[in-house]
Amino acid sequence: MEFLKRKSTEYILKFLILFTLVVLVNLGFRYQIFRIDMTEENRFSMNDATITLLKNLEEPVYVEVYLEGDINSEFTRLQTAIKQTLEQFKTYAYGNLQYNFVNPDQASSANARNEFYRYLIDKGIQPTTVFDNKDGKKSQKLIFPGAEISYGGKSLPVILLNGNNAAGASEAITQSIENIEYELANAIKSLANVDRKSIALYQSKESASGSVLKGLKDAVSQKYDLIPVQNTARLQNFDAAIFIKPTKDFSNSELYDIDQYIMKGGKSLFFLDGLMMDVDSIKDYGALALPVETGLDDLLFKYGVRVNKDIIQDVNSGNFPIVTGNLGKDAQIQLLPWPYYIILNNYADHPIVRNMDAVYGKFVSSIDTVLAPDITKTPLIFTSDYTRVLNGPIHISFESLKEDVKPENFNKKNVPVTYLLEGEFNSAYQNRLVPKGKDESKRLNKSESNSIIVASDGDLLLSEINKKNNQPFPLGVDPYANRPSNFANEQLILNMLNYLLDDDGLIISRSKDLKIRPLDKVKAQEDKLLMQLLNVALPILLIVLFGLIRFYWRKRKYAKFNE
Amino acid sequence: MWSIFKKEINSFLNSLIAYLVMGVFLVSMGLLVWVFPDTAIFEYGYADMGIFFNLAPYVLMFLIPAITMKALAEETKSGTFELLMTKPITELKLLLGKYFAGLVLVFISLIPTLVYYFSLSYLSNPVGNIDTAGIIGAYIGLLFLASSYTGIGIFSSSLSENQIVSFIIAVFISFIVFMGFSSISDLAFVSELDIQIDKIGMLAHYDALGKGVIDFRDVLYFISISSLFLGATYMVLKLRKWNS
Repeated sequence: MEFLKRKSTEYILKFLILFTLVVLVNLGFRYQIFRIDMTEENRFSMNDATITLLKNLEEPVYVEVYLEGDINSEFTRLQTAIKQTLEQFKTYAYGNLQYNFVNPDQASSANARNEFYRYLIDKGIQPTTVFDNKDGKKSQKLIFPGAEISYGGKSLPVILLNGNNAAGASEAITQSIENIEYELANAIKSLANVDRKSIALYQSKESASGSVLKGLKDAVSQKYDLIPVQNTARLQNFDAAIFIKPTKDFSNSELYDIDQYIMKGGKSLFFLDGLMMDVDSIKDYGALALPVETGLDDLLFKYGVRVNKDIIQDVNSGNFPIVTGNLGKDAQIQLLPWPYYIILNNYADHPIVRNMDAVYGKFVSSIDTVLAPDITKTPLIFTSDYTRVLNGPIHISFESLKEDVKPENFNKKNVPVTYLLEGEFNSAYQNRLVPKGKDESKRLNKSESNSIIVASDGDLLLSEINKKNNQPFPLGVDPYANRPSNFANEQLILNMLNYLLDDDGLIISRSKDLKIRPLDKVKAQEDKLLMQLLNVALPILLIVLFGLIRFYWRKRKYAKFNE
Repeated sequence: MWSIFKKEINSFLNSLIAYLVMGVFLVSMGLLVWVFPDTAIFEYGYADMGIFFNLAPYVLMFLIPAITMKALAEETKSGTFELLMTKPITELKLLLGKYFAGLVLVFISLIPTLVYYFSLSYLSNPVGNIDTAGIIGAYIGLLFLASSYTGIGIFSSSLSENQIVSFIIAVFISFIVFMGFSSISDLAFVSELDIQIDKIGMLAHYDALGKGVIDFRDVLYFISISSLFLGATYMVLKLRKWNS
């Protein structure tokens, strides 16, 4: 025991104690998250809902990101942001999250690579073509800006490139970066969510046949149970109800059911046409768009909005193929602008629609608001700056396509076509007799705080049908469009449902606002040499100057000392 | 402690070597951030100092040992260490004085890099479109990292009386502590423990700090590393005293 008495042992022991102490303190504060995000927009801070979600994960989440390899600088920015977000996710998930980046190009052979490409596309991760111009060499390549998230034996694809394409590639990437947190957290949430909310899909028998709804069903059923309902009395069992392009005249008792469903807090989404028009019914001589009478107008009027009996034409429109003439025996088909098919990319600054790519509407009507106390009415989607509103009934024919679109006729701008209503709704049956067979004592005259979304286009959620094989396209695909990506109709409905149904506020993370801070390209090019010189030489000059000043100052001081 | 601190700073700044060391650091940083096409800001195209804060740890890995290598090694070599010990000053005060002097010298070397900030601010579109607060945060993060490197440097300086040996030891330890653990965690056979191993290293903790997010746990970590190495230095000094 002699060594215990030695002084050296004492100091080794003291150090070991310090070491243990330091390790213990660090371990003790391992989960103590207290951080100050100094960045201007709090770029590295996450929404509380995301943090709660990650903290409460019960099983590990695996994230596989396919954006890796030789990508251009814009996408490198996206990739870095994804890495940073996942790194933060990891912090909050306490080890319940792992991620890795996979290069889809890394394959032993071209065959294996194509196989992998196909595998990704089948999973739902669509590639993007990137053109790069490096040192005068132009190259083109496919990249997959998406990820796959697995949790508890299930997996979901996540598309991480989803900004508004009309704003330009760089802006779209910035918007995508702002959305990364939401996209990833939302996918994790849909996988981890045990009590799935159920949504009633109301369609009248006469309207929309099954296949046009396939795209909607595919999109929504990843996160919610979507169940077709025809009997309005059954609505009470659902968390939300979507009414798509109803054509039938609802009976008084059905309207009462819908009204009371809303009074009891059921979330409702209405996708209604003011005038009824189906493009397939337009024959050579055209077709007449007639007002739809569903009876829902009375309810919505009471809640604060009115879908007008009109149709909007817009300069920002899609194209439609039309026979323009005959060349010998063959009909000549040309794609012409079809101002009834509107590309809507003018959004309000609201979490539902922020940073979203354009959506595609067909035969859209306008919406007016009417007085309704206690209701906040937020317009979400507007038409472009060149819009024309035609009051019904209207004769619509392909002939009109051939005429040039005259801009001077498009004298309206930014007509709202979708409204979010929030607040305490008044029943449309207040001070009225309840329909036969309904119990008046159970009637609610005012709802608790509730929300409704009204869009004046029944086709927003319907898929196009591929004429060749009669199969529906995914939601948001325009078979005639010349666009790099699908329209965001699918994202629109998912965001709407998330906003209405998720009480934890995950969607708020969509309101993140990042600034892009680009270099002034002209300046950077012109002053490049100067800047390089300045930044390499000036710091050294400063140090040398500092040394010289010190030197002379000391000399003076000691010179004085000698005197 | 105060007199040691002042003496240390003065003796460093009076030597020509000091200006050489700082000059080499600033030239390397300048070339990396502004000239070399693989890393230069012009290629990246955004007014973001991220490149600087990502590369600085690697360059500081050499700068700081060069600043601190002299601290104790020279005292031992020239025999002034024993002399100092006869003065009414404890080992702890001695090494703290040297430590803080080293830190201030690192700080002085970093000041000229502010030129980068002003250049970027000038080049950004519109002028001044740069995240000033975030950059201040990242500088604070960098100083925490530097404080750990300085601790390592002081420790290495106590191990040998040869400055070159001290320098090499310091670079080696800094390298291992900064990158080594995250590299180990990438190896396939530790996949179970990878997060924990990664967290022992500085890289994992610098990640957020270098972007301007001051996380209490990361700060605690860097303070811990500094105190551990200072504790170890203290132990070495004491052991030497009692063994000689």
